Amino acid sequence: MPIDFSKVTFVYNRRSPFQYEALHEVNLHLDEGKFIALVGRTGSGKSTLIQHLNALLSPTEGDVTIDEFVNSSDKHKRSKKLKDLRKKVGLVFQFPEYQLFEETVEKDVAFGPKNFGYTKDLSTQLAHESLTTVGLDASFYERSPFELSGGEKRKVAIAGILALDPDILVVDEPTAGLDPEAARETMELFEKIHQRGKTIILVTHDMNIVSQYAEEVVVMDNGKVAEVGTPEEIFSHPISQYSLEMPLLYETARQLNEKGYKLNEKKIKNIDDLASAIAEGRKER
Amino acid sequence: MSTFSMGRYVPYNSFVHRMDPRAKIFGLIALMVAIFMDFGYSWTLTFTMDGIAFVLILVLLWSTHTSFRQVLNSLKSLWFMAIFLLIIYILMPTGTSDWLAFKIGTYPIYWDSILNAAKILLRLILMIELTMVLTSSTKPLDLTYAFEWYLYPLKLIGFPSHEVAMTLSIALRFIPTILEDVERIMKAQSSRGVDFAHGKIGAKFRAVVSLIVPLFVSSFIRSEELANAMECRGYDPKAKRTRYRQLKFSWWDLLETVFVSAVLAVFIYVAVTKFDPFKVWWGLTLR
Repeated sequence: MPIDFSKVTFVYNRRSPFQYEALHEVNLHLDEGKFIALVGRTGSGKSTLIQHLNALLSPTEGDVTIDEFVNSSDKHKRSKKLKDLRKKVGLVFQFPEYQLFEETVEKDVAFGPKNFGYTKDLSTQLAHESLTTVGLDASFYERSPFELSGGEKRKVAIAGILALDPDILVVDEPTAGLDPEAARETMELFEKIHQRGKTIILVTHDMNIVSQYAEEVVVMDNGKVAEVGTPEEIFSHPISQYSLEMPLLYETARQLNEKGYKLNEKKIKNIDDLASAIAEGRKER
Repeated sequence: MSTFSMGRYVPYNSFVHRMDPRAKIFGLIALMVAIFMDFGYSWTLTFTMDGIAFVLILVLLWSTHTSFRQVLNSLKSLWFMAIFLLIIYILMPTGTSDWLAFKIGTYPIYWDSILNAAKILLRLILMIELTMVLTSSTKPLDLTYAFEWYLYPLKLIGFPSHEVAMTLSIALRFIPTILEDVERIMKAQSSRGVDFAHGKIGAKFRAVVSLIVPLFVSSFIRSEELANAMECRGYDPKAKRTRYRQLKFSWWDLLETVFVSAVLAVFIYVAVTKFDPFKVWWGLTLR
């Protein structure tokens, strides 16, 4: 399901003293099945943008087209059953652990499928599957979500969205506030889901994660899409004007090149690449 | 967010905004008392006086930059009560029974009942608009300071007026935060297929539970964090303290207070003496 934004403008608190334009004529095309990173400084419109993807917000002007669904400012153009879009586009908010409310983990994860009219048995089965995906075994099913650790809570919350089996998974800063180990596990989880052919849209401030996992990067600035490209393209030039930091890997390679090495920055994708490039450089000397 | 913005402080620079919050609270109470004065069954008098109050409040609304749309929005939640009140008051026989409006079957409806209903409705609307003038022109924090000032005499008999004011200001401070939480959680649950607007009673109940429980959890976490933060900074409710923001009562405030008092005095005078200029001077009555 490709995603198309055409001239999307969104204004908060329209016609009041608090009026604020969060998106300004955004045009964007996102392909199916890609791992996409959405980056940009706080207040650049990332969160507003992703809320258009499952019709939590409708554009003030312009259209968002996802598959046969149209989320438009024009009420006549807008699809009738826009809420079904939420089954196809799963949106995991920042700090999703604050949405848990049921008595048991199993019930909480099955809540989503039940809302979309699946039977109780099927919902429970979907819940079990998605809990397995996020790495929580059967011993968690009957526990209260409120007695879990922060990382486990977040896994339960993510499982709650995965249980809907969305084709597009949108995650807003999933690693915020997690310890490095839990953060790595979470990112590997999304990588695994991506391997199954799903589109992942990841909002993050961590460029190391972007360089490691993303296939495409969308840079937002001031309510507009500033740049779109592969991580190699984006990180091949300075990005500090967007308040973004170079990933460590690229920064290391760049500084080594400044000191006389001749590394091909475009070929370096992980630490192994960097190490072998340095080793090769040494042999050539 | 837009649905919650009614009555929210809007930063403009009108004379109402600049007024001392203590004077504003006094003015609000005085004008409310004035609005709810009883003028008996002299309808010309009642509606003249309410009309004066109406014009006064219109001026206040205009000077605080309140748009007509905002006024309508603030009355949106009132329509159910309005209809309820109208029905009750119109069906209730009040006043003199010889002034009949019409009959529903054999049940008589009197003009006095209809006018009474209109009066009550008008006064309710005036009260709401008056409160809106206060809350949209005064920072919540200034309101609590003024509130604390009014509670000050009670301190003499050991009433914890500072603590009450502090609790109040914290409660006010967290209203927008909790509304943000509500919005965030509603969006998160909507993403899980919850429909807050439509659905059967059972589904709606579950929708509300899915909102309330996380809201309670996050509120408890927040209050605990706030309590810890206050304690870390050595907050002692009993300590004597000075203020960063001082309330200043200017001559201008005094003038406004005197004006409002004068309005109240006129209303009380008219209500007590039932002085009806229409009747006394021109011999007019409404029937």
